Amino acid sequence: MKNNINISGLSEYVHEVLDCPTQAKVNYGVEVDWLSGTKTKATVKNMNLGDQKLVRNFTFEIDEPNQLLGLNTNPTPQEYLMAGVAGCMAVTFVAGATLLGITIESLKIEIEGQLDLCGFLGLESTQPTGFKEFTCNIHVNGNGTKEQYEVLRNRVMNHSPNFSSLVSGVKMNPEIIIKT
Amino acid sequence: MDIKDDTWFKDLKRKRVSGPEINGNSYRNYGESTKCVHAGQYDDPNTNAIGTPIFQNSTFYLNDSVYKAIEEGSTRDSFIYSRYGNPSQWAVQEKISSIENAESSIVFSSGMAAISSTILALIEKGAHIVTSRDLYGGTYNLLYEDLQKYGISVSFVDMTNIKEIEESINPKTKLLYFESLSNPLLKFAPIPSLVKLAKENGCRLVIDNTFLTPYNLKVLDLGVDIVINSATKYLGGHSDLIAGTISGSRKLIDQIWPQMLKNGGSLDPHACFLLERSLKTLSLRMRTHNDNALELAHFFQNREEIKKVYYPGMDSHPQYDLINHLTDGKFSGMISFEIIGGDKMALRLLKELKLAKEATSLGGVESLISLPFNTSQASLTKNQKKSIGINEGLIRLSVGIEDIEDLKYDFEQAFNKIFNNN
Ligand SMILES: Cc1ncc(COP(=O)(O)O)c(C=O)c1O
Repeated sequence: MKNNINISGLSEYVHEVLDCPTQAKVNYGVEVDWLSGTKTKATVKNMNLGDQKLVRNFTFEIDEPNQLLGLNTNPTPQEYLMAGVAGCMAVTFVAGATLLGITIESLKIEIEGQLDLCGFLGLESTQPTGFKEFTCNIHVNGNGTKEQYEVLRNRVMNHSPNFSSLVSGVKMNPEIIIKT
Repeated sequence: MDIKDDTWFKDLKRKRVSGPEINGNSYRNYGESTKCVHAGQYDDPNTNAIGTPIFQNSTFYLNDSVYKAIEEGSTRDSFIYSRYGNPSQWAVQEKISSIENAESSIVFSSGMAAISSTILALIEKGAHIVTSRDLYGGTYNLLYEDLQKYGISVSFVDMTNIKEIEESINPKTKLLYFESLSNPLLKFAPIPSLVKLAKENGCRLVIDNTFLTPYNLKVLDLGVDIVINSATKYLGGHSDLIAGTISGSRKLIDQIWPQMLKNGGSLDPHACFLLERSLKTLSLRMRTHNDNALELAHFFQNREEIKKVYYPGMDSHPQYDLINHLTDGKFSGMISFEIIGGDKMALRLLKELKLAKEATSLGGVESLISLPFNTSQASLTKNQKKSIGINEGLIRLSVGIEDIEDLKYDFEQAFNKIFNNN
């Protein structure tokens, strides 16, 4: 299979969704438990894909560097956020390349960004609390043309779910549930 | 750029279709016997020979369309290599799909190959399976010895107790796995309730329908996701073949197919020929198995040498009404019964029978008879046997298609011999 992407299967899925739009609905969830200090542990919840339950059995830990009160045992929440976006962009890019008949030899997506911790610290600042901007480089090697890769970049910006969540924003309103 | 500027996945053309089919002869709208005879058969257009040839080849010429299939991932629809697919497999698979009312089927080199590939393909890391305590030994061993070893948890429950089944389902439960009729006590899996539970919990329901066969009950029509048969039994029907089948939606069977490629266990073309040929008489044979077993069960019921008869077609069976309703009075050819005098008398009976052959397995044209205590349930302790209801003197009979009067006479003379000489 080109790029190890099953484009026939993807095509069949497109038509399955056309026949039955609920097959496109995917539910995700994570739970993050505080361990101690800056350390937390994420457990992935079951996914639902259409009418199907997908059992997920994955956990990972999150930490902060020593300089930010942590033990530096694991990536930070910011790094997971960036990796989640880059991973999603990579899938979208490679599947799209396969659609165009391009064989990818290598692909690396680089994301960087600067936080101004004044927001976190509550200090007076003109800067937002979150990232204002990510820079992103897509390093690609394959038999596509520059033009095609530019088209793919635009497709990723339109069709990558995590890219889209990040740039369009996701509504979120945490509720407090007191454990007794 | 040679592509329309907004071309994306939505513009892909390939749709999922049933099959793969060698020439689309499914006979969907015909009766059972017609499907058995005709569906799937590939008549060679070059020679006009009637009947699917045995395509005894391991590999096929490569060409542009095959390379394209490899590139796009649609290899299940091409002939490339006989583990992936072979015309002899496709023909018999199409017949099986027709008989099961399925979109797609795969034939395997044994029932266990079908079972292991299906279960491995449908579970995920950390998943949980709910199944029966009364399970064919090979399946039990796979679940108990191997899957637990790899971190898959399995609950073994009373297959007739829907409340216990429901209570054993948890958020990690991915698969409900049951046999429609159990060995040797012929307990029935309450399939409509299981379908409902599977839907409510987002699980897949897999039914091993070996003891009933699609002639007696089409479990896919009831909403079961995958049906499995050990085709070694009734589908093969002549005790001369080891094979297995799975059938279901094209989507799910496509999910299991890559597992078959990895596990191995594809069916050899010559065995495909035997299976396809056998299936032509499936209806004919099952009618006789059903009739003979029903009559023999009543014959046993009236014999004073016999303490208890287990047969789904008798109203003494606790689930008679449900089975009768679902199968429309077709109960298959398996009977179990307890003889007075325990295992000792059971062993003597087997020696005195002239027609029923003392052998394990089932579903052949000849009657086969065996004792669970020293065959299928030999590894269980006395207490384990008791807990699933296997008592002293239990005999399992696979009723063949011999003349019923001969079968009755055979048992009559054997009973007379062992009880008069006591
Ligand atoms: C109910 C049932 N399922 C599966 C199997 C396994 O089938 P095979 O022997 O073809 O591997 C058997 C075989 O004895 C069986 O009785």
